[in-house]
This record gives sequence, structure tokens and C-alpha cells, in this order.
Amino acid sequence: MKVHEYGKIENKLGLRTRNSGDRLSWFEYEGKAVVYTKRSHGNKDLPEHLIRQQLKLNETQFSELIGCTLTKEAYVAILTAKGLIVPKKEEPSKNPAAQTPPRSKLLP
Amino acid sequence: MASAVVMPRDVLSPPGTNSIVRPSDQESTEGRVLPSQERLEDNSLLLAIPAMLPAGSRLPAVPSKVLFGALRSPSLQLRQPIPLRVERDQAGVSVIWEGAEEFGRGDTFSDAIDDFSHTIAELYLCLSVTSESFSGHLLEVRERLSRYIAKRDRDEGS
Repeated sequence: MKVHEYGKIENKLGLRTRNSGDRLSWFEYEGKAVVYTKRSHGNKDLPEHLIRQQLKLNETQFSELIGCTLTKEAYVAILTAKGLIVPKKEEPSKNPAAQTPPRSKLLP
Repeated sequence: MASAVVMPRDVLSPPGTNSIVRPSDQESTEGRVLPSQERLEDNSLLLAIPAMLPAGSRLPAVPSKVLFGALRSPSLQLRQPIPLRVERDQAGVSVIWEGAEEFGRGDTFSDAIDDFSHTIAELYLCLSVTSESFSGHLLEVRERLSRYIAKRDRDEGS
């Protein structure tokens, strides 16, 4: 993956770097760090499949992320579907069981 | 003017005395002491040595797996070595820790190991900040890291 492609992802998702010399960038949602990925150090290319794994995307989603068709909102939706982001409305219960959808309601 | 008698190389004289047959004056004595030698072309000896390289071993010095044990951080120490897989492509070398989805990258194997060392230390220290809020996934990563990395006790060195 080229450096400018990584820069595009970094800007689109708003990845946060704590210090300029750091090697990691963090994706945060509602004040909570959700995933991290490795930054491009200097002008070196990064291995695409490893960055993709760290961002929890499949190949198609990652291509769309680089190609501008996958928005930040869509990325949040992907992470939410994978259980990496827990919707805020469920947080006050503090009950892990409450975070899973009530399966009994889905059953007839 | 002094002259020397040249002994034919393929003649062994029996004990005692013997007469030495002197070559005729017309015959050249050159080349009778040692067999004549042919001059070799430059590097012809080196070319004659066969060298065999197995197919696909373009870079045999880079291992496919390695146990990482060189954490360069004064505040951290390793509990146990970290198993890394090594990948090489046209742009450089990657060392990958499958268990934590973390990797190091560099032009050479040593660069990749060094990058991994810095990255893993940074990751551990970032995840150890109690004031930050982390997702469940990152908390799992922190727990996994804790099996391999620990903060060094300051009194340990004294």
C-alpha cells in the first residue's frame, strides 16, 4: 500500500496519533479507542493485508475505503456489526448480557 | 663459461656411477626439467569450481519464523519470547505476530525486528494508560500482550 493511500485512510477515518514520532494510529469512536493500525514510517510502503487486518476489514471493504466509496459512517457500521463498537445507548446498563440482542424476541 | 648438465626427468640412475648422456647441442634443454605448462586464462580456475544453489533459495539468510526476545525498552521486559512469522516482498521485510495482529516492517530483517520492538513497546504502553478508554477488542489485545510483556520494576536493576 502506498503512503498516499494510507494518508487517505488516516484523513477519512480521523485516525489519531498521540505523538508525532509514534508508530501507531488509533481509531476512536465516542471517546473510546476501538482499533489501531500501524502508521507509515517515513516513505516506506506498508503491507496492505496487515493494515486491513488491523482495521478489521475484508478485501472489498478495504478497497472501497481507499477508493473513497466507504465512508467513516459505513466503517463505524462495519465495526458495530462485528461487535467492536457497542452502541452508546446500551452502555448505561453496564450489564454485558444486555449488550447482546434479545434473541428471545426474534424467535416466534 | 660454466655449463650445467641437465638430467632427463624420466631417467633413474642406478647406484654407482653412470655416464650421463649429454644432449646434443642442437637440442634445446628447455622443458626437460619440468613438463611444459599451459598458461591459464584469468579466473579459469574459479570457473572450474561448480557451485549449486537450490531453487527458490534466493535469500536463505532470512528465516521464515523467529522467536523475538530483543525488546528495547528500558521500562519494559519480556516474560517469554514472541513467535514471529517473516514475510518478504519487493518493498521489504515484515515480521508478523499473528497472536496480536501486530507487525514490524523494514528494508531488511534487522530493520523489521527493530521496528517491531518499538511498535510493540508503544502498543503496550499506550494500552496501559488507565485514563484512556478502550474497546473490548483492545482490552483483549492488552491482556494478550501482558502474557509476554511486563513493566520492569525500577528497583530491579539496583
